[in-house]
Amino acid sequence: MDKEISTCRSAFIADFKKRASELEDRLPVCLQLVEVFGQRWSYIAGSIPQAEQMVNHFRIQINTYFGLIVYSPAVVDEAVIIEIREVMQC
Amino acid sequence: MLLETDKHKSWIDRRIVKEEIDKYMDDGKDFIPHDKIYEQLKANKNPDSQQVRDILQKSLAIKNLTPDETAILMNVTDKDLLEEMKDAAFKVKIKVYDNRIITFAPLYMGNYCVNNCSYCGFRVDNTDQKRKVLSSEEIRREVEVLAGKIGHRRLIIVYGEHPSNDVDYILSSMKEIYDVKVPLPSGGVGNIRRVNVNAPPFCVSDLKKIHDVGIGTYQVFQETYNRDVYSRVHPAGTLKGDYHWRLYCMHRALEAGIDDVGIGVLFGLGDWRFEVLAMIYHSWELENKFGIGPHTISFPRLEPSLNTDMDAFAPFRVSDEDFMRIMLTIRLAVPFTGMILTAREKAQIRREAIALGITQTDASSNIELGGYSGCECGDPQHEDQQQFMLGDTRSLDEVIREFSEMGYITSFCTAGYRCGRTGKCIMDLLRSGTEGKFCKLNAVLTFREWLDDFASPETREAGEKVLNMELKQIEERQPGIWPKFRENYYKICDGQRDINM
Repeated sequence: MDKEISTCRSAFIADFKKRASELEDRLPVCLQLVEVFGQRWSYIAGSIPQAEQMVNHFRIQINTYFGLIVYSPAVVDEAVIIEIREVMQC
Repeated sequence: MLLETDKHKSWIDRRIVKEEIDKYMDDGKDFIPHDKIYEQLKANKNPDSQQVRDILQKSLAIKNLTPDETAILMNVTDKDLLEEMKDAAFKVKIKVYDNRIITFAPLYMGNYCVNNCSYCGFRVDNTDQKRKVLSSEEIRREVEVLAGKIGHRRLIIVYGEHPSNDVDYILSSMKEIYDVKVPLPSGGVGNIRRVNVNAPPFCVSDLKKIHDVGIGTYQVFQETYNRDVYSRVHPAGTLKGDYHWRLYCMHRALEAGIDDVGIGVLFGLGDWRFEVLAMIYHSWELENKFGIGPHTISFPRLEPSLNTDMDAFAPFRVSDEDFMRIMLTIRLAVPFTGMILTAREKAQIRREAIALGITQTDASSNIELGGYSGCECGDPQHEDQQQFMLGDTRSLDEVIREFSEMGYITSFCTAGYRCGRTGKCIMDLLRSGTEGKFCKLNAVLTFREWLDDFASPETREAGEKVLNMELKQIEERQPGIWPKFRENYYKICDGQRDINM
């Protein structure tokens, strides 16, 4: 059971990295995958933002367990958020 | 008569999971090379000045020092070189953390303990100690004072090792703390936004439960890394007597997903030079195995406690001068790690230590069980109701006023762990110097909140001067960020709370 969960988690992270890389190539954003534990959103994977990207950041909850942190140097418009949600399937 | 430890024998017997020690050891050996540490301390005596200056350059580039380099710094005796080290430590602190000081309060949850540590007021044999575990209602009352009257936003909650303080109690008490919301005159709410935990070592499955309720940092001090001293002060047959169960506790925490861990030594039990190098080995071990070093390092120094024979520890008593050297060395050896100095120390020591790179401290501290709601700040301390005696019982208001007059900004920011800046992410941001500048913005926003909600007129006046200086600097040096920052700042002035960059 533990092995299955671990394999499933690894596959989920690998999938996130692929999709995030694709989005970061097209959009001026930096994406991170986090695990959600109440108040705590723990970093799991993704790029480390540059100083100028840290000004605008927001959280998107994917499901009960996972979330995204989106960093961007400018305010992200609704179309970009929709695109991120589509690619990340959340 | 049944002894306290006999009553709980079956609970004690279930606590240590040997496989969770053995799996991390290399061929049965741990990562503290005792003999090598003594050799390194001996071999690096009388360092030449160029060697020391090269090491300082490495610290200034925010790189970890090796144990040999750390040993060299501990052996510097030349007064001019020591001044250069202090200057470098201050620069490192400013580069990584800027002029911020994070404040928190300790909250003792229970002082029952099955251990019998010879230096601790809570030891099981100390029958004069008054024992208590806070009830749900008492926790609520304590937090109402801490978050609603004093204005704290971050706690370190402290538990003894006992069935009454087991993991289920920790989980329920953490939830209770996070749930308390106190209405403030500004229209906002006073609440605790980050709960750090100082508790005994747990197994991985228990640590996962603690992680899942939203822990901030998990803090466990080894007390002493010297195995002989460890055995002497922690009797065999007690839970705490198992050196390796404690030593590998942070490995288990990181395995459980708790990626902000705090380590420390109780200075005064053994040779401080050995302890500093051993702590560097601990830090290296965590970085090598998990890619994440300690989030914080703490510097408790042995203090008197009820029925404790302090003379027994006299040979290793750490003088103020050596204590300063310890903090100076650690700042330079692990430049990006947070450093905590608590109100165990007297005000003068705390004042001087800030310039050596301390990043976090407590104030308005009361370590009696139920002490925040039961006493007034500045009331006499009661030896039979606390683990040790505090050296500085000044109020948060007084401490903040002093920080402001020294040019430091007090930060109540707890945003990082609520938006993924944990573990490897926060380490990388600290190393690059990005976090320091960014967190400064949140320090200003949360300090604004605190000044408006809690400051006395004198402290407010001192705080406004620092804020005005910071606002001017942000406008000049970070023009790209300024418009959004200013918008958030004015929202807080208008009564909104918990707004972060």
